[in-house]
Amino acid sequence: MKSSIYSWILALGCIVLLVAIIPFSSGYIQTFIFNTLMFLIFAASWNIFSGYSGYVSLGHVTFFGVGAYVAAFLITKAGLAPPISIIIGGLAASALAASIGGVVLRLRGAYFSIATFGLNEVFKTIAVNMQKAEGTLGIVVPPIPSRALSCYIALIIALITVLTTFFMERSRIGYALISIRADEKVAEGLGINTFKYKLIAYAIGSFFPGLLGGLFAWHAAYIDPHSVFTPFYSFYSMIFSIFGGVGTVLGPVIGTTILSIFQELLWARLSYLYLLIYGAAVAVIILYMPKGLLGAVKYVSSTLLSKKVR
Amino acid sequence: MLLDIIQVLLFGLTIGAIYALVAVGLNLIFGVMNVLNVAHGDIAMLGAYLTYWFLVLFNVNPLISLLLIIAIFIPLGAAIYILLIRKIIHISSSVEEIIFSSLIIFFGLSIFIESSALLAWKADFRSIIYFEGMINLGGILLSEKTFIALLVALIGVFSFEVFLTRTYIGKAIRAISQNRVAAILMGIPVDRINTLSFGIGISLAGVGGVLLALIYPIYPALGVTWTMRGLTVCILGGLGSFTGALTGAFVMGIVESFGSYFIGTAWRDVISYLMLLLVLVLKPSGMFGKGV
Repeated sequence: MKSSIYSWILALGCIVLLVAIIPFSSGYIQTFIFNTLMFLIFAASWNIFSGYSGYVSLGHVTFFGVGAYVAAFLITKAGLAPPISIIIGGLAASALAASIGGVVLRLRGAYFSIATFGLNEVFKTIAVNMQKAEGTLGIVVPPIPSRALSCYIALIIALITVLTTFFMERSRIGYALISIRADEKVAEGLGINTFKYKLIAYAIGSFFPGLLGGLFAWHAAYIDPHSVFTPFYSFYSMIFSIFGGVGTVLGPVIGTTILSIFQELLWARLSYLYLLIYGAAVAVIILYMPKGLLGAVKYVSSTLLSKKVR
Repeated sequence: MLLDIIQVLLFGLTIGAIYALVAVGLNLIFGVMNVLNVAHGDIAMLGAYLTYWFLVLFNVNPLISLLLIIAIFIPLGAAIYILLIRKIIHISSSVEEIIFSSLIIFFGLSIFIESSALLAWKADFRSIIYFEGMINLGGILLSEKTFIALLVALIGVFSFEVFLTRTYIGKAIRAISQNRVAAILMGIPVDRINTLSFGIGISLAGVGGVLLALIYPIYPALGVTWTMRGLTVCILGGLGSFTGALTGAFVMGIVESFGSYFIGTAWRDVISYLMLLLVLVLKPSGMFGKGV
């Protein structure tokens, strides 16, 4: 229990530090902070459903793209204020998850992963074709006043995502999801309405990438189907979570922070070979740490102290 | 009109046959090892580029490079299995864990292959110019390359079927995918069969790559699209089922081909996905899958 208090104090310290340094940092650092927070939201929200339930979603970026398109559309066509559009974008993503979840959540294991993987391709195609009908490639959105503002909004979304995970883990939904991960048939047998809880968690977990999509549209000032429906983001969400440790509140946060810094250093030093090394590194890391960083730390500390550390 | 429809049908069959090659390999790997190879399309991309370079640099007939690629890709697949997968299978305690870890490993591999290809060959679209003639079958016009691709894919798929049902190794592969523990108890050398299946699966993807290079322009990023199509075919038919992959591939090829003809090429991926959702709503384990 004590170690978890320390980690929360540490997390709070990091947040205060971030809030303090954002206004004074250079554009490069601000962009780095924004990107890291963006992947943090991706990873933490992926973890809410997939991490706890063990249903590996490969289509997480779909909700990001849908949020981005809905928000951009509302800002440019309906003339709504960006913050409201962003929230509606998030709700739209959630609503989509709730409706598509009715079908895909009936699938298990690899079937679910593949069905969600295809989902993104479908929405990308729809976006491309809609844009073609209008004769344009992307949507130009009036830009956000300052980069620091987008960092702050991203920080707020990230905090809400992590806090949601924290409270969900301790709620009926969290227990239901963990029991589903352990054994779904037994969970059903115990009278848990597994489908209902999966659907709720899926909708909650999709709200945050939806919000993020709207923020991204505002931040980047331009979106097109290929930049917001990138399948890589889905994979990054999964990798960052698993690297930190799935089914934990802080795992995705730690995983994203460490891997983002690693990625940035690699990119700055070896821009040509960066993806090549990154791909190889990801494969090798998981070979040696299949339970993620938190799992590895727990394993090492428990074998060193030869008792369970909690 | 009737001729048009026959032509569309033939093209659908051709696409379906290539899908079948890619999907049968994926399904073999999943069926035997519970490993989802999300780098499968990238392997196909490698096969496509090898064919291209063999033709451009050494003027090798694509049909001969097809044999070369089989010879190269079987050891390549075996090496991937020994380096990356064997350990995962040994340390994982459940099927879910294997799927989890293998997804990440193959995503890493996919980035690795794609970015290497991008560095080596740039992002340009390239196409193979070979077999440019047309075949006229009583009014039905078919390009020579489509005809050859269809023929090769059919030969490939059916010789694989013969291999699975008639040879000792093929029977061992089927035994493992039906019941792993029982296979071990019967004295089947699971590790060796795994290595071989991986090699065969990868080489089937390579052959698929050769054929897609014949028909479509190639570029380093085509892997993701083909992985997705291969996986879609697999769950459409039912993961781990050979008949399923085959039927799923031809159904998808034909539906896509007619969909493109009547609705528009741009909607091709949406059509196949909607069909997939429909099948999954009716039968969540795919057309030929075992119960979920």
